[in-house]
Amino acid sequence: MRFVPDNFFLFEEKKLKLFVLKKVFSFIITFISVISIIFFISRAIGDPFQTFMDDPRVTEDVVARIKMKFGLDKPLGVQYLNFLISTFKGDFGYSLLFHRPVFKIIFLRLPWTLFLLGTSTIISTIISYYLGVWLAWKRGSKLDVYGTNFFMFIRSTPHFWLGMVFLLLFGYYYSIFPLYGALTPGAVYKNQLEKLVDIIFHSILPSGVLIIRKIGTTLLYIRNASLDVIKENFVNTAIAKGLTERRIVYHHVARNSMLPMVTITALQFGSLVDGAILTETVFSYPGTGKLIYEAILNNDYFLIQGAFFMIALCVLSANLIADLIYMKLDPRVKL
Amino acid sequence: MKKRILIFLILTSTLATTINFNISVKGQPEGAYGGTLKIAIGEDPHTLNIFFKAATIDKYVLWPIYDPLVVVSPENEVIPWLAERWDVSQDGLHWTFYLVNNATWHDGEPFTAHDVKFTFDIIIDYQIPTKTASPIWTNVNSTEVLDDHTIVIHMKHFYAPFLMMAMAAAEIAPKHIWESIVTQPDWDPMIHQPTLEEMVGNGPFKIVEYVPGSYIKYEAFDNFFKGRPYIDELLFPIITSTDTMLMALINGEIDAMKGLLPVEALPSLLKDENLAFHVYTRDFITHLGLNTQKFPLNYTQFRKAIAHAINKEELLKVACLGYGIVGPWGMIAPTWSFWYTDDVPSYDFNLTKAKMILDEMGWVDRDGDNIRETSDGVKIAFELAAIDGNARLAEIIGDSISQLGIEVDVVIQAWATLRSRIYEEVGAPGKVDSWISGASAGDPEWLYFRFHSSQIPRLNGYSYNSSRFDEVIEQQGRAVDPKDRQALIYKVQEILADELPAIILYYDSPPDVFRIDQFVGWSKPLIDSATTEWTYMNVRLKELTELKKMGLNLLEYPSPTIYIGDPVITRVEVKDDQGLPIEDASLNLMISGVPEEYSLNALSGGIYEINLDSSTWSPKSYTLRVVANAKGFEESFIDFSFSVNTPIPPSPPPTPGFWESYGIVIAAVAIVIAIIAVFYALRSR
Repeated sequence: MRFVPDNFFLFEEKKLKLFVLKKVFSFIITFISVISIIFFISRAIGDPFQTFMDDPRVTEDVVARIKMKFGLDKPLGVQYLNFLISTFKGDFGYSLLFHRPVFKIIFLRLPWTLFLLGTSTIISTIISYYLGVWLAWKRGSKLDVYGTNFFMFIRSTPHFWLGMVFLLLFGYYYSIFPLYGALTPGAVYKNQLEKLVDIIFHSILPSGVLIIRKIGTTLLYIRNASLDVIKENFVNTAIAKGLTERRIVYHHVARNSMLPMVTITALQFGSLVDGAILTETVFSYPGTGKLIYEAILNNDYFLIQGAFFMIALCVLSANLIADLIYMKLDPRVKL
Repeated sequence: MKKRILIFLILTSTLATTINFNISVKGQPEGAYGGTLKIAIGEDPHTLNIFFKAATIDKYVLWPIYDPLVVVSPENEVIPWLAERWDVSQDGLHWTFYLVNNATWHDGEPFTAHDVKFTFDIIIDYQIPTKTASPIWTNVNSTEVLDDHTIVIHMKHFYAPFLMMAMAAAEIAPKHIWESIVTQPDWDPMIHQPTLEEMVGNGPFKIVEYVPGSYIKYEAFDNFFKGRPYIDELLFPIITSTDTMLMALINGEIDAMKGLLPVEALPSLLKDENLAFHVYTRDFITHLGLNTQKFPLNYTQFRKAIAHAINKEELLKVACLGYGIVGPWGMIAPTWSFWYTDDVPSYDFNLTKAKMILDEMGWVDRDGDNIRETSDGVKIAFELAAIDGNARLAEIIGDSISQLGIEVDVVIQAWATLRSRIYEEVGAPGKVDSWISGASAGDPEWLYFRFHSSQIPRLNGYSYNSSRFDEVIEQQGRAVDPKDRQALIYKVQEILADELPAIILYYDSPPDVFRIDQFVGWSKPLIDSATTEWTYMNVRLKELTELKKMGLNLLEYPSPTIYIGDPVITRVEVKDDQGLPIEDASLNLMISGVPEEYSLNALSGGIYEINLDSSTWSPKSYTLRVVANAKGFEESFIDFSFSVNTPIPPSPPPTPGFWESYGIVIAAVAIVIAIIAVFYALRSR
């Protein structure tokens, strides 16, 4: 920053505002297109009232009455407009499968998913950051070869397979961790701390799967980025100065290879959501994953819309935040 | 659990130093009642609203809370429940139910006929479109309360399976709770979710807690009119994968699972002696549907040839490892023994016979391509559609039919696609020729909804239109006398077996698995799994019912005569039948039938030292009984008798006699004199 001219920041501020505006605008556009696509896809896959029609006693009139109640008797265009209006009013409608407001269902489940995603994102990012840089520094060594290959292997395994292996090993053969759920069923807690401990204990296996899978992906990016940095002259200078290995790696190399990590973390957030759906199903975790699965299976339009609305919001926000952080981390970034 | 606590400690030792990590799951109390029965369910209930229980899981979750007037017994018969008896008018249009007097709601309010009327009114007013409610509002006209414990139900028309299909599925909701709820503006049973406080029922269990996605907890209802269940708690953990359920079952974390056991898992489970199995035949058919309006399947003779080409035994083995019953030609399962008859035309697996029938029809191979043609030269070919899960069955059936010289085009489709093709209008180009699918069965009335010509755009995907069948199936619905109905249903089966609009491949009998190491008394219904209300009512802790023998020995007898005020000390030894000491026994002392106070000193090795205070006893002969109790053991006792005397007053110390007082002095003096005498005698020499 020493080389930045004095009038840089003034100039920068204008540009910054424009940049943020641009990002936010594209965020909104993407968001609306995503939920619109979801709206039309969910209506293309089937009819949620088919189950009523399976009952021979239920007449068409009864079904028509229910359809009218949910506004599904109107033409698709009108339904779409109503959907957009009510969604931005914060009204997601009623779940046809669970017979209650979609908002309520999602907000009972979303904290669990966010908890899994949050902890695993943070932990895996930290681990892969330090480990990746270290592996790059020790490139060609046994540690590097085995470590890289191990995580390559992990990266190629599907979430649910890894989950099942974890479950079988640590839950069944060595019953160290619970087999299912996010809480001990029927437990009576003396205090909140005890409950927290129980929750953490139950989340170890599922978040472990997410963490190790995510390390597998992120680590390789960090390692590659660090390899480029290590070739730079300032690293040689640092070595020549006689700095300790740790200081060189974590002060000079690591900080400069942080940028790709931010991008990867943000980009991976989307695929992590997808992984969370599979992992939650394997571990019977009460998050949104299983909910979405059931909603799609039963063509529950409103639940599908609501759930994907939340997911799209989370993923896109993560990307937006990453873009903004990126700029903060590296002032050289061209706006 | 210890291991778990250890892990907690390791994990959190950095966070906090002194935390008590014991997570206390409510313990098992003493007495005849106790225990928590854990049954895993595969998904969250879709609703907790008793009026809108649509999915199987809703019915299952609400079952312990709400009870109907009549129930279906494990033997598949309708028996009195909240109605102790009922009358029906001659024409079958007016049913009078006499309710029990002693039933109350969970909040203490009495259960009355007003609640029944209220429940029926809601169902009829809202025409609730669920499979449990629709038999009510399509058949019941109105209800009338005669007095607090008598209700009359007026029917629109006679409905033969009224008790089984309508009454046994009509769980009653409390008027005093719901009255204010349903009168709220915009109330709709489809979207209303009651709070736990509003879920006041009349069943054997109260709902205590529902953590979405995690578990549902129930507690025994003490004032249940049939007596409270033996278990204290019922817990439904939600486990979304069947594999995990099985692991938890084998590990002993759950006692049973609600869900179909994959039969492949069975061989390894059979070795586990803690597990027991219940094989029941579900009311669920897997059948080959035939489009009776489309060439070549519109020929009854041709359908009979197809029937001869189907090896049902093999299909059953392939699909269910033999767990099931071969599909009866008359379609009704033998488990419905009152309606079932085997006196119907049958078709054995015999390709030669099938070929003969085809030859008789004049459908032979005319151009040498191994495919038969009609006399007009039309190829005999049809399509066989199935979902992915039934692909193997479709292949086997397709194989053997093509051996007859018929071209079968096996198509595997997603259920949504296949379903829309099955239920398409007759003659629509997309309508499927034949297909394999599952369907639910039950009371013979399902045959009406599947095969009556009025159901053709709906469930009658076979486009089966037979005036012979229509007439008989309509008659049986009007037959008030069960005997008449039985005869007509025999005839229905005969017609169906003769005309073959569909071929039932099998009724599957999934083995149900549950643990027997902790609980006994599992009920095994004829057509349902072991995890029903019957089980919740009957199941009890094994340790409360099957008790081991205990050995009780007296190690140290007190002296047979005891003086009042003397301490009485005795030692007993408590051992189990293996001779191992029982350390946690509790002892009680009875003296001639009256409990006696004592102080107990438990020594190691199952030995107990009993100290009695005899100061309040009176002088007579006593029988003392030591009663030993220990968890899991039969009560055991030991008797011993002794007499208690008044203590003899201490005798004054005997006065010492002369020799006793002075003897020693005299002896000493004598010895001294003797020594002196000897000394002098020696010296004088």
